[in-house]
This record gives sequence, structure tokens and C-alpha cells, in this order.
Amino acid sequence: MARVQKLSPEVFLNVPYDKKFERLFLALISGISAFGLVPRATLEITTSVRRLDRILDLIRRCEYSIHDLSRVEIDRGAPRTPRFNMPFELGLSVAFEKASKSRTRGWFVCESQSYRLAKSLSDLNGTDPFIHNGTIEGVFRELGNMFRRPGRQPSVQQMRTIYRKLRINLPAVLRQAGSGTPYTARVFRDLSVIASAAAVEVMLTRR
Amino acid sequence: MKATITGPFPTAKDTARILGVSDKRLKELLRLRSSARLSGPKKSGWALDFAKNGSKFSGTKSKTSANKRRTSAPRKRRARGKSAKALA
Repeated sequence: MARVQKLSPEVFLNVPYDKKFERLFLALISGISAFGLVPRATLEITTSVRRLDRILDLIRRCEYSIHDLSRVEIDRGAPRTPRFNMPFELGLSVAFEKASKSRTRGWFVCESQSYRLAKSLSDLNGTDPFIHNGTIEGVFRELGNMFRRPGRQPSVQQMRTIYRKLRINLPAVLRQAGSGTPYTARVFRDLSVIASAAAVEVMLTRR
Repeated sequence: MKATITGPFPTAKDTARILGVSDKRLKELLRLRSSARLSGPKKSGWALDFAKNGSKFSGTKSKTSANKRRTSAPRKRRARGKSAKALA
């Protein structure tokens, strides 16, 4: 019987899908790829199956999850509401981690401001959030604090190189998808594949 | 908590398989990536020098800076002397 090689771990990205977050979204895809991980997101959910079931399925199959809770403010569109999706999906991930027997499963909380999480979600007191300050460098720095890859620990500069390659390709990918935003299933998949190819080039061929 | 990743480093093909991207699309994306690399953003002279030599200072000095170089006083005197001889 042929041995099935275990696929690389997947990371569930639970982030705000807004214009302001686009650069950080690309930075997350780049950084995650640099660590040899595969990003996954609810953006991929396009079928008519109940959305919550697909989200649960996605969270279940991902070994790690990153939850960005930096959008806790009330949005501008009417009716004005805060965004509950991200804390909700964080809750689902925590529940899966507690129920899972796998020791490798892990979840990470990101914020752009220090100490805000203690106010917005005090249930997580005792959990240190990863503060990226809303910058690309901050995202790369915090990914380095979340993950460790023995032998191939990517540097911030290497993650930045992958990010630049992704940015160069973004207009063509958007044009081909007929989209104006990276928050669509097709664009997300294309960007993840490009980031992976760039990561192989940066991490494995340049010694 | 810091997670240690020990799995194999995925190739673009592995990632495409996980994300459900077809082989045809993968080829297109890889082609797109290589073409974007060739026709990337325009680089300035300094950036091209940097990319070529890997250091800002290792490249040869540009003609512009060579022209701007100040002539030393003895060189100036010698030049004057020669021109004076030539005129005589």
C-alpha cells in the first residue's frame, strides 16, 4: 500500500474583508506561505450549502487559525452594527481546539491596538494577543512570533519579498477575475498559489 | 504559545491541490508570475545597480557623478599650463 504523505498544515484566516485591511490580508497570505502553510478563508465558501456548516468544516480541517479582532468598531453602512463574525468564528475555533485530541491545533488572536482586547473580549483575559499595529511589518513580525519552522525560519525580509511579488501580480489576477477586490474566492485562491510559488523560490532556492 | 511546523514545505502544486485549483489554472498562474517578474515596475538607475551588484556602493560611478567630480587645484594648474603652452 502506498504511503500517503501528510499535506502541509492549513491556516484558517478569520479577518475583516474591507478595503483598509487589503494590504494586511496580502501580508498574511505572504507570511503564511513563507512558513510553508496554506491559507484558507471563508471567502472560498461559494456553494449553496449552509454557510455555517462550511465554516465549521473549514475550521475543522485547519490545524491553525488566525483571528484578527482589530475591527471592533461600528461600521459606517446602515444599519450601523459591529462585526460579530470574527469573534464568533474565534469562539468556534477555541471550542474545536478544546474538543480536539490533536495537540498541534492552535489559534491565535491578532489586534492592531494593545490592551483593547481586554476591553472588547474580556473572556480572553490571560491570552496574549499578537499586536500588529495595523502594519505589514507588524504582521510579519507577529507571524514570526506565532510560528516556528525548524531550519527554515523565514525572516521578515523574506516575507516582504514574497509580499512584493504578490503585489506585482495582484492587478493581473484582479483583471483576470473581473474583480476589484481580493476578497473573492477566485482571487484568494490565485493569490495563495502565487504566494506559495514565490515562497518556494524565496525559501528553498535562495540560500 | 508558539506553533512548530514540521510538515513538508508545500510546492505551488500542493497548494493548488489543497485549494482546488486546476492544473491548467496553476500553469496559467505560474506563467503570469514569471511574466510579471520580467515586466515588473520600472526601476531607477540606482535600483538597477543595486539589483545587479547587490550593494549601493559596489557599482561603477555613473557618468553624471564623474562629470560632477571637482578637479583638484594641481590638476587645474597643470591643465592651465598645458593650454598656455599650446596657445604660445
